[in-house]
Order: sequence, then structure tokens, then C-alpha cells
Amino acid sequence: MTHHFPGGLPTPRPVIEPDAEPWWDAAGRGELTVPYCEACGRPFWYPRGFCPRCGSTGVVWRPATGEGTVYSYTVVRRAAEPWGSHTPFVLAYVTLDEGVTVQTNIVDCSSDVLEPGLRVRAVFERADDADLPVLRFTPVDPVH
Amino acid sequence: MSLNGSAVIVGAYEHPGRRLPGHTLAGVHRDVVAGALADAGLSITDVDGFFTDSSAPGFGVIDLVQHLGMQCTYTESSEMGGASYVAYVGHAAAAIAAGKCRVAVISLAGLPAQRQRVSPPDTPPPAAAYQVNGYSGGYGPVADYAVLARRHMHEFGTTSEQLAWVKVASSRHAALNPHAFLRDEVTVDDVLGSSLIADPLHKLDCCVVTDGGGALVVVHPDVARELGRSGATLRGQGESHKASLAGDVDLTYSANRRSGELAFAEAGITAEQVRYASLYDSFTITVLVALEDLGFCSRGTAGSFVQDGGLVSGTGRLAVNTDGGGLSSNHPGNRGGMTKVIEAVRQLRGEAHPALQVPDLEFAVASGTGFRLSTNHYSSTIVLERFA
Ligand SMILES: [Zn+2]
Repeated sequence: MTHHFPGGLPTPRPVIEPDAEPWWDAAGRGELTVPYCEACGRPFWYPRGFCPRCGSTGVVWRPATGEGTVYSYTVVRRAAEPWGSHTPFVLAYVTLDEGVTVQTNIVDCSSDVLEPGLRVRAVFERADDADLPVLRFTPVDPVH
Repeated sequence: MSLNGSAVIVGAYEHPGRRLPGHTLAGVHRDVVAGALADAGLSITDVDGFFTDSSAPGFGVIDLVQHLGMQCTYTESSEMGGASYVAYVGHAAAAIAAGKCRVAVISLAGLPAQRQRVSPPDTPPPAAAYQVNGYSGGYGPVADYAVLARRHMHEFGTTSEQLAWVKVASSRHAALNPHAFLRDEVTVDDVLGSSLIADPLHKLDCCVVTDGGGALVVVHPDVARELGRSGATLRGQGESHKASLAGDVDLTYSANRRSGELAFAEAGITAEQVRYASLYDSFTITVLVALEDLGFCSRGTAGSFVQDGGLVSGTGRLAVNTDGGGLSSNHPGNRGGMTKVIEAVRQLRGEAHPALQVPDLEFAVASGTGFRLSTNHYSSTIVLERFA
């Protein structure tokens, strides 16, 4: 019954909002950043050039620890292409140690350890150099 | 301005079809509008307000308005997914209260089983890049609701068996509905034995995909009194949006919490006074979350509330979706809000199936949620009172 969920999931080519380019630049270097609002001092997600809580455009992009905890997940067993040929794969929400919760995938992971509370770390995947680096997570403990 | 008592639903009609090859969206709209107007005792020339969603064939809503032969002074085609047809009842009442129209028709038509695709988004949502790969589609809505179910299980001990009971109750109701798409009663074991689509949701945790539609006639109370037809008075309406909340994600509640508070406050009643509820049932988990959000049970207890037939009319704790709901009967155009309102009106008129009719029903609730409960969604809730 144990299943290993591999990496190499499809990577999309979305339109980047110009005000979020600092996030993508860091991601391209393999670095996870989290946007913080200078006015209210809190991190927010997803990245954009203004604070969705107070509207301030004073945004700073701080390096994140890159680690977090699985909040919830599902094993997707049926999907349309390009996802259909990758089933089963994991869709999850991960709460970063900075406090924001991110919709993502868990890759290079065994079904035996998959549960809310699992500690994970960020990895960036792209199918080829032209694709955007997509934020995904894998278990912190490599034996898993 | 309060909407309490501002309008009455005097006509309601559900298309009997579930697979409509050879039909067009305009044709289904015509059929259901004619059905609802006949039910109300009105004609197309009485209509001066028209409401439908963004899938209306043609340019916005006005091609359909001219096609059906209406002379409107008020129209709306805002898109709120499954919440749309619950919200439109409130929007029609607001337009009536403001004097913008007197006889509003709300119409839904959909042909998803005929692969007549409607209104694909031509621009990606701004969040798409960061919500990674799912937000704009790709793996479909089931996964988005599955993460809700998993979290509910983790926090509250909810089980797959309890989720299955939502489907079992709907199938028992649908067995008495000759128009239901799925008429066979199913058991908890049937649900758990159906294929997993996205853990923990099985195929039978998911609603049907059906063609069809329905329509409502919402009028000024003076018009309703002249008609002499029974119906449902709007007592309260609320709507609300909930999304990723800047990253403060909590999947254990939905926008129903706020829309329900607003609707009950406007109506001046509480959930304890409601013995019938039409609850959006895109998936079994959608119903569990709505029961808690609307106050029919306390937070985290919906699993035990629904188990052992808790939602079966007559013997359960609360009669829910006595037409069989979207899980077994009908989910036309992938927007279940219309059928939710129609069955609530049937119950208030005493026109539900005799075996499932709630006796002496005074108040009913209908609630709908649109788009993805785990990411970005909208809800609307209405409280209705019997109009005789
Ligand atoms: Zn701020």
C-alpha cells in the first residue's frame, strides 16, 4: 500500500504580475522569500506588491526558513491533463514557519508519513529552463 | 433598508430533464421561464426584471432578454458560481424594494453533459502563479474540497462513514423523486466502495453533472397578494466572500458562516426555528461545513449530526435536500443554487413528496456556495417564510 510520490510534476507558465517580480527573482535562485507589510508588520501570502490587509505598498521580501508543516492534503487520483498522467499526486496546504499557509504539492514523499503535522521543506521545481520555478515541498526528514 | 418581507417567490419551476441532447441554452431558458411564470399565474409581458449567470447565450444578458420577449427595467448577470441563484433572490428583492422592477424572473440553464462549455476564463486570475498549479484548474474541484475534508477529519475526528451518510440521506430522498438523475438508494458501504477521486472523497461523495435548469418568479408583495398563489416570503438574505485571507488559511469554516449570520439577523430568527434546509451539496463535505457554519450544529459536530440518517426527512435531526439534492437528483449547469431555492419553496408550499414533506413548515433556509471552498469562494443564504 505504500506509495512514493515523486517530483517532476507539471510546471505552469503563468503571467507574472510585475509588482511580484522580487519574489520570482529569488525563486529563480532557489530562495524562498515571504512578503512582509512594513505598515502592519505581518507576512502575507500570496506575493504581491501591496498588503492585502491594509493596502500599503511598503512591502519587503524577507528570506524564509523554507520549512513548514502540512496543514492538510489530498492524494489526487483522477485529473485532466497535464496532471492526469501524474496521478496519484499530492495537493496540500503547508503553513510556513513564518505563519502564512500556502497551497502547494508535496513531492518525493512516502504515503506512510503523509499527514497533517508533517514537517516539510521548500523545493523549487521546473520542467525546463523556460518554465517558472514552482514552489513545492518535501519531507524534512530524508528517511521518509 | 431591510429585505425582510420585501418580496415573495410566487413561481418556481425545475426542468424535469437531466440529459438534454439537441437542446440549446436559449431553449432551456425559454422552457424554465415559461414553467415558472405559469406556476405563478403570470405571463412574459408582466416581467420587468431578469437575472441569470454569466453563461447566458449572447451578449451579456440582453440577447436573452430580447429573445424571450421581455421588457426589462432591471437586469443582472453577475457570476457567483453556485451561490448565484440564492444571491439573486436577495438582489431581486432589493431591486423590487427600490422600485426598479415589480416582477423579477431568475433563470438558470446549463448543458454541461452536452459539452457546451460556458464562459471559460480568458484571463488567468492574479493568484494563479502562487496558488501554484491548481487554482486555475487542471486537477478539478474535487481535490480542492478533499483538503477541506481531510482537515475536518484531523481536527474533529470526522470519518469517511459520516461523510457517506450525507450521500445516503440524499439517495433515500432521490428514490422518491421520479426526475432524479440517480434514483437508487445507496449505503455507507456503497459510498466507501466507490473509487477514490481525491482522498478522502470518493466518486459517490461528489454531485452529479446534469443538464437542465430552473426558474423563479420573485414579485412585490402587492403583486403576490393579487395572484393568490402560495409561495415563500423573503425574510432575510446574506452573502459573503472568503478566500486565502492573506495566508491565514482556516479550512474548517466557509463564507456560509457570515452569509448565514447576516440572513438570520435580517430575518430575526435563529437556526433552531428552521426544520427544513436546502444546503449546497457539491460534495458531501460541503454539507457538513454548511451545517456548522449556519448554526444547525456546533463547530466540529456535523459528523455526528449527519450520521445514522441525521438528514433524512421525518426521522432525522434536520430535513435537508428532500429532492435528492445535487448529490443524487440535479446540479444543472454546475450551479446548484437554483434547485436549492426551488425545493425550499416546494417545502413551504407543502408540495414536496408527501413522504418527505415537513409538516406545518413555517421557515426554510437555502444556502449556496460558489467556486472553491478551499481557496476563493462566495456564499449566499436566504431565510424564507411560508406565504399563503
Ligand atoms: Zn499591511
